[in-house]
Amino acid sequence: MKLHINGCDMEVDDAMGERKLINFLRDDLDLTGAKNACDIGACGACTILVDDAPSKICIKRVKDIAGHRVLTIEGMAAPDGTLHPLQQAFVELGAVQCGFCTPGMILVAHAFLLREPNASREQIRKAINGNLCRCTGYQQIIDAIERAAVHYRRPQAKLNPVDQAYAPISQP
Amino acid sequence: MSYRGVSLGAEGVDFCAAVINVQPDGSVLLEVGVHENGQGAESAMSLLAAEELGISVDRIRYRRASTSTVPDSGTTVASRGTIMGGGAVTVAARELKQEMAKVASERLQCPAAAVRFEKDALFGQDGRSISFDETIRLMFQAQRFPYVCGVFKAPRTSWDEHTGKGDAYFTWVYGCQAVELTVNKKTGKVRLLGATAAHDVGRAVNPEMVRGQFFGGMAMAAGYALHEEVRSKDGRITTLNLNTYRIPRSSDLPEMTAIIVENPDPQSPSGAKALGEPTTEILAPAIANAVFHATGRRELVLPIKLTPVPEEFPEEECRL
Repeated sequence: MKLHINGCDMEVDDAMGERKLINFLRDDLDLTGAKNACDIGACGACTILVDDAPSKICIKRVKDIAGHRVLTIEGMAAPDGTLHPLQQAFVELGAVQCGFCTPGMILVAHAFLLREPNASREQIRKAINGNLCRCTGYQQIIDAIERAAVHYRRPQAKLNPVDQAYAPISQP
Repeated sequence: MSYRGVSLGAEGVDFCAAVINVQPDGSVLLEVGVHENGQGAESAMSLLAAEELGISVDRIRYRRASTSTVPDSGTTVASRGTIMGGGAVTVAARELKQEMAKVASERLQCPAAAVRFEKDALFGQDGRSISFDETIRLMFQAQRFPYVCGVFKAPRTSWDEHTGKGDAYFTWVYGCQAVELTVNKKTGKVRLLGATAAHDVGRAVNPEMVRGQFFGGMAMAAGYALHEEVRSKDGRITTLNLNTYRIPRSSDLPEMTAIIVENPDPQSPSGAKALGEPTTEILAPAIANAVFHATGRRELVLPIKLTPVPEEFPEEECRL
């Protein structure tokens, strides 16, 4: 079974296919950004992107991502550690408090802005509806996504995050 | 059979401790007896220490507190983190400055009390300066170690346990929240259109996080005002996960506005006051009042459930 995670190709034994995907990522690959919170696909803390679409993986198996392109929060920053403009906006606008929902929020927002870089505030609010946050009231998360949308209006935003260096967003 | 209970009630004198331990390379290790639960204590404490010491916040390494290295300073409760922890950090930083000023005063040729701390340096009266790092180096050379434990003890209050009279705490917070909503006549569903909060925070140590506490508190309040309910059947809780215990989703909440009122408290060394609970406490009554204005129904039980909706609703949607 072939997996493609954060730009890395890997081969795993087919017997691994039935393993819970969240446990595989967190325990086997040490990609601990995705969190297992509700374990029933209700809260979105486990969200990753599969072929650029959000997927709640606490209810998925390893075989579900075989042959697909996977992006986790660990793949969002540039290889040199520079944060993605979306991540940077979260930091600057206070969109992170306890941080538990943040990886899922960022990935959902990333997938959304790739499709809708000119989204309105109301559309952004709807786009993160599947992801729960107990700390922020979503207000600054929406602020951050709105600011980061500037980056997604640039042509290079379509590139896989792991393949590019980021240009800073000028502050409004 | 035995009964057992644990409680946290009528308080003793509140206090909190902080340890600042400057390393020979000029980096500053900070430990505060307030635990970080995600509320931003780490950044607030680091910012307060940096500001008091006149250094860049990058120098500070915030260490997760352990009672093996910093006195047990109580729990992360009662909105006391920034006021008590921040008080301890400020006291510790002032003590450290006194020690550093004693060592630097000879080089700066001015009395220790006149030394100013800013821009990662110590300044004398005539423009002479010595860097923070150099001062620390001199301290280690002189074996006067830059290690302090600062304690902030809450000022005494006039509270009388027996009569139940007097001031129960040394500082008070003031706040106001307003909400606009509609009630759907057919379903009784309440939709929030907007909410605004103004709180006297003493001093906004980290304004973005202060705003975050406003919004988070209001969101939690909207949740328990309108949906959140622990239900049980035959003595067992049935709302066991986030599909049945419904906390607000982004689309349940309106755009919110935060108005920070700064009014530094002279009793608090850092000037900061409490914020966690005040923001969480007053939106639910505001929602209940708005529902009353919209429908004439006085709801006294949370979460507010407006079904079935009475016929006397004048319009399809009643708007405050």
